[in-house]
Amino acid sequence: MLKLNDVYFNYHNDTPRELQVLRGVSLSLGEGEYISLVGNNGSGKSTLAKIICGLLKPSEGTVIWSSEESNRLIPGHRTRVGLILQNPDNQIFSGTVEEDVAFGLENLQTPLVEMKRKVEDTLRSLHLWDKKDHPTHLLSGGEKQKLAIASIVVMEPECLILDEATVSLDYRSKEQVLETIMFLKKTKRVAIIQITSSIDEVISSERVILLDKGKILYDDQVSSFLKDSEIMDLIGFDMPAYVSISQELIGRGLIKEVCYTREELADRLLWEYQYRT
Amino acid sequence: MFQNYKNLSGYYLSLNSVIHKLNPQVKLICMILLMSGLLINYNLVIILMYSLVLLPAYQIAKIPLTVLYNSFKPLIWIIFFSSVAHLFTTPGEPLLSIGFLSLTVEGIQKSLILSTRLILIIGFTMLTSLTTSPVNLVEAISSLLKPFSWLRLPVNQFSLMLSLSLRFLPVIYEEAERIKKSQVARGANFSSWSLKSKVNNVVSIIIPMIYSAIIRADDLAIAMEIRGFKIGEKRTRLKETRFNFIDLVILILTIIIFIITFFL
Repeated sequence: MLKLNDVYFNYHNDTPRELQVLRGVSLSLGEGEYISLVGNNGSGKSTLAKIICGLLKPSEGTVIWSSEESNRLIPGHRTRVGLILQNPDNQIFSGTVEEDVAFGLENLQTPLVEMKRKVEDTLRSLHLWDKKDHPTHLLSGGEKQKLAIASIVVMEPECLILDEATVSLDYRSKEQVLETIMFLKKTKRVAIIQITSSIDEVISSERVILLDKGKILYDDQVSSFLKDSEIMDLIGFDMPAYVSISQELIGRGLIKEVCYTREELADRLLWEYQYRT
Repeated sequence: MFQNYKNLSGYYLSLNSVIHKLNPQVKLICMILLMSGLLINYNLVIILMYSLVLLPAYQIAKIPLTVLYNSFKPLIWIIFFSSVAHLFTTPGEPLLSIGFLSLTVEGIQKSLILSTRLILIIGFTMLTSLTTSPVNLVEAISSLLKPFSWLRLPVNQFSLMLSLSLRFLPVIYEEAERIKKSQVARGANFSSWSLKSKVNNVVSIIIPMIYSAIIRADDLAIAMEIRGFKIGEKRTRLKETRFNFIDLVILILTIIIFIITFFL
């Protein structure tokens, strides 16, 4: 669906090639894929997100959407990718929930009947319909971020980028946003790229891309990433508790595979107990 | 410092009334006509006539008069001083003299009329903002300004700026409160009466606010571009405003009141 070939980028034209913000980034993204983009501050994650969205033009290399080269998105491409930023307050423009969700469609000159249908469908599917007339500034942090997602989703993007979108949210709100992401991935086959520094969010994705000083240092499945303590150390991630426990249990011969979630570990232990007795 | 922001922007009370449902452009034109009428000509009869328009209008809009009273609170001193000034400076038959100041019958009349006129002007403005959502209000302003775009004036940019300002007023207010609390936590004393410390305190809030406003503006531009917004480009609307029979009736009645004002 999306392919980046040898992309270089810098904010100043005279920067030497080896000091650029992005240096030869190549990656591909399939339909409905769920990727975590990780890396230390200044590694180029947000710049990469803006390039994928077409907000920045690569100084070298190409961005290809479904075999159609697009170094700067034209209006027709805008529905292809959506970007959610960290602070939901900066992404909400309208007075009420319904008006804000309709904002993008109004810009795309969607006919009224179609617009009403799409707004209602989106609000209902993200459980925001009962708040459609609610003033946006009175929503909770999680609801605001959900609204920001709804406002993008209504434009039916093929890809959704979340740039540290849950960083300022409390635990419940984070769960709400993650549930929304999983719902979109499963039902609408939207590809998700989440820029995150939370290991809990990485676990819920399928693939991890580690960006370091503008270069891709690691690109593999989450299961492989979690086993690689060297890479985890490089970005200061602690091994998730369930992975550490399951590794300890493997060492003691109690289970055979690494578990990534509480449910997986409980199921595995139950299965082993039933199998042995 | 910022606690009265709501009074500056006006509250919008989302209620189900005839006045709430009126066309926002009609409401804005009526407000301008009634305010102009009060500014152009005033006497006791005119003040009574306009009061007989305003008070039932609040009843029809289902807005309690306490809401109107609360809006006056920040302006009560302005009304008071202006009344007192007219009370003692209007020439006429003196009722009471204190030094060079004299209280006259004409003074009492003028002071009552002028303070009621001020209250009526604020009352009509508040009625408009209480019954019209900020978005509709901005749309009404921009549609009334549309003829100016023929003169190549940036009407679209102006209405966008106005609508974003209204939208971000509560956010900026919350931010100011947050910055104020964090400055208090670092030892700032906002209760001090000294002018120097008051100036320092304002600076300690304004500078972080300008910084965050710039960051916010950058994010906002990105978010708007992502959602397909392009200034000056044609857009469709989720909620089209309509011009109904009741709008016509209200508009005609307001024009009649405005014309009568010149003959009273």
